[in-house]
Amino acid sequence: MTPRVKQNLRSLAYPVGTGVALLALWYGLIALFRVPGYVLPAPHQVLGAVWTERGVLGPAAFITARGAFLGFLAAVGAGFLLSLALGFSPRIKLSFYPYVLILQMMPVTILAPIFVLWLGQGLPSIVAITFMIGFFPVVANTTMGFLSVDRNLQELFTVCQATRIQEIRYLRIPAAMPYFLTGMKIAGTLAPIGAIVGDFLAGSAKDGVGGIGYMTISYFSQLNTPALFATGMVACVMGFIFVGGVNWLHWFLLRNWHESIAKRE
Amino acid sequence: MRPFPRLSVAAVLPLLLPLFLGGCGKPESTPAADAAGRPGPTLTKVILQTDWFAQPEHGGFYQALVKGYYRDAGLDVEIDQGGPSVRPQEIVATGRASFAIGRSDDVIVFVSRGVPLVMVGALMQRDPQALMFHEESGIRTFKDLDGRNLMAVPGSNFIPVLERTFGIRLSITPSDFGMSRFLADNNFVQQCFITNEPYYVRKQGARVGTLLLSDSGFSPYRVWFTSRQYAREHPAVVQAFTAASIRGWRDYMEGDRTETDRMIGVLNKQMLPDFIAFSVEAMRTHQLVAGDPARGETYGQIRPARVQELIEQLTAIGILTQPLKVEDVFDPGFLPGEAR
Amino acid sequence: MSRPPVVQLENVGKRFGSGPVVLDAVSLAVQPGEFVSLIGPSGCGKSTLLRLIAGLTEATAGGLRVDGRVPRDARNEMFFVFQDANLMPWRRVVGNVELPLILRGEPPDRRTNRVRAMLGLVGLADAAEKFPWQLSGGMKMRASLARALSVAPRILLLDEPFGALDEITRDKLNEDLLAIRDRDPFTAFFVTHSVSEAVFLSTRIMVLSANPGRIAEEIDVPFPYPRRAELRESPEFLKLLAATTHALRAVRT
Repeated sequence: MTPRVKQNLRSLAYPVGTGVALLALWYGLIALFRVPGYVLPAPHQVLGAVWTERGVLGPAAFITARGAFLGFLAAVGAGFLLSLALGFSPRIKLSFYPYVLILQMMPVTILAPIFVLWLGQGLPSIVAITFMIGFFPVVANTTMGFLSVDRNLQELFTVCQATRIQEIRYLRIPAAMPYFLTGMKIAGTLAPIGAIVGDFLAGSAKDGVGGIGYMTISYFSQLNTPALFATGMVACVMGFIFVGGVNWLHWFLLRNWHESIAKRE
Repeated sequence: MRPFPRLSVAAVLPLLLPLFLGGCGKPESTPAADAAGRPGPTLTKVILQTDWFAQPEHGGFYQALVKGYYRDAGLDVEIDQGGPSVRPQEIVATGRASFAIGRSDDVIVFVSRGVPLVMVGALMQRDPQALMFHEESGIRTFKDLDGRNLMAVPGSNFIPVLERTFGIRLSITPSDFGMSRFLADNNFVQQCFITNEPYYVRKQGARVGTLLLSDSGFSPYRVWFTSRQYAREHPAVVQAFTAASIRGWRDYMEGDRTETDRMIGVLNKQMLPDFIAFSVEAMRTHQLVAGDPARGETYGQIRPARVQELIEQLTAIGILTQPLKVEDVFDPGFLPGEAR
Repeated sequence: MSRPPVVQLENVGKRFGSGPVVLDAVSLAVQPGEFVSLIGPSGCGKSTLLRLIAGLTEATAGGLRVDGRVPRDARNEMFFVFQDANLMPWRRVVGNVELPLILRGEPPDRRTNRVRAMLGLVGLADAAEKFPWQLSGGMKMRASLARALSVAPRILLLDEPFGALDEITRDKLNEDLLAIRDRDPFTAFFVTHSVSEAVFLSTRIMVLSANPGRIAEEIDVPFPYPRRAELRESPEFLKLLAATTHALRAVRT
């Protein structure tokens, strides 16, 4: 075993050790307080439920992930375009930004029935709800990016006699990238939550299989607590993958040059 | 105006925490006083947890309270109203109430999950749960629901049973407990209480048809239940409560309900006389409370055969993880003779 | 032989809004090929003067002509080297240097050749694929120079470009700048705080006084080109250095 492997194993020992301790605590609590299974199921029961419900939870995760992904794409795409417009001139920003804020402040629970009325049950509404949740962070961050370009660089472009379009393409968009990606990371974290909440309000299910939100209500009303916890676990994993993907994209696009990632020499 | 009592989305928060703190609902005694204020025999304190705000669907209990049937049986009954975030099964399981109201299929499912409940009497022979739709939608029978979108509480037992029984497929939308979507869309189908929502949507001008779920072959009772422990420790109380409640229900349906309806109206501002009349009429028309006398059904009755059938239906849709027998969920020992 | 001045200022004045007057009655005529340094105490408006010539800001009084035109219309002939290297961090050195060419619509193969030549000229050929964060201060400034030279400007405006560098690097860059100018001549305006640098590089030194900014003194630098590093130790250089320093001190009062 090389020293490097040994060192890695040693650092791994900390989180793994803590995990084992937490598991022991979990079992201990159940035993000590004689907690019934429908209140706090034991870890092996939860894992068992993941297995038995896999035919349902798999599709549920897929349904929710799909809604989250599409809503996320919409939020990122539309957010970027709107920011481009807002960053075009301070006057446009002044005109429209307050309304973007208003839209952001409206609670999702108010917007959801409106979406359902316009778009119908299921995926379109869920995408719309997820979009609403992720849209503002993208706009807020990206707009700031467009408007806070280094003055010196702007002057450079003036010296080069760049057209407005050239300036946007070669200067503002690349300069705004770190801000945009930060907004995107935030939207990526919110998207799975948005899709699950959207499922509560606008979801749809066939043959007993709906999204994560739907299954949560279903298991809860049947007091199937192990399955409820299992749903939580699946949602967690899905969230990890989603956020991990977005974070990877952030790293990938900025890895060459941004101080947040590139190592200083 | 809300519809049927269901486990609302707002209650997804683990209100299960109270279950951690197990309690024991020891019935307290209240000294009774007669009309002259002289001390009488002590009454046993009993708490009944209903599943919603006061409504005609709880009428028999309020009648028993108002008419003094509980006091006659030696009980000081307090009726606690339920609501969107109240889970009656847990409240009984932790001993914070002696009895609660629910549907027999829910009780069976909860028992299979390990909650130690037992049902002891039925307030309704047929549950008011129904589906409502617009006449324009062309729906006449359960089979016509095939391929339709239905707003219901996810996880409701009747959904897979209906699909199996009639060979249909439904698309379910989580219930928002409102009626605005129903009113906005002629093709909308939603879960309701036959004693409730149709009144309001008709008032808004909708032409409404209903299908009572009990007519589909899936026919749970609406029952009151207690915990195993309570039944074991206070059998006399359970028996007295059961008998007095049945008396109250019979009187509510056949006798003078004026005072009770007034009390319900005071407890729940939305219970206007016109609406209560509609509800009670619906209970009569569909033989919800007393059942069908031609089949030997009567107030309070729970038939083991029907419970068995329900267990089999629930097993067939795979919702019972362990095999249950009738005696696991129902104790007939507390019903008065005529109700068995 | 009198050629028309490539840059001409007549009584040029500048004030920002209703603030103090930054420049007052500045008159100057610069011949093609001159190297004019602007020195003076802080607040004398030397950077402002540079930016007026570059057309980055407008005079509020007087007339300014570059190549016979308003500075704005003469941008094709000029380029600016900023105090900060002012490189785009998301582009490699090549990407930064070729920016002005891209913006002018030069085709890729022409660009590549030109950029390679410029990088060779400033000694950055090996660093072509690096990102700015990987470069030292001196290298970044070289890249900035390469960028400025890529469009072969007739007039080069430099705003304290070497101020943040250490003396050795600065001296080297001074020599390299002159070497480049020897090959492809351009007219230069150079703002600096270093008197030694001004004397080494220039044909003429303008000493400005502050409050308001005016040309206090004009000093000719007669040394011929090409100028080598040894010049800095010659007695004539040191004498001119002392005189210029003296003139600078005089305007500080």
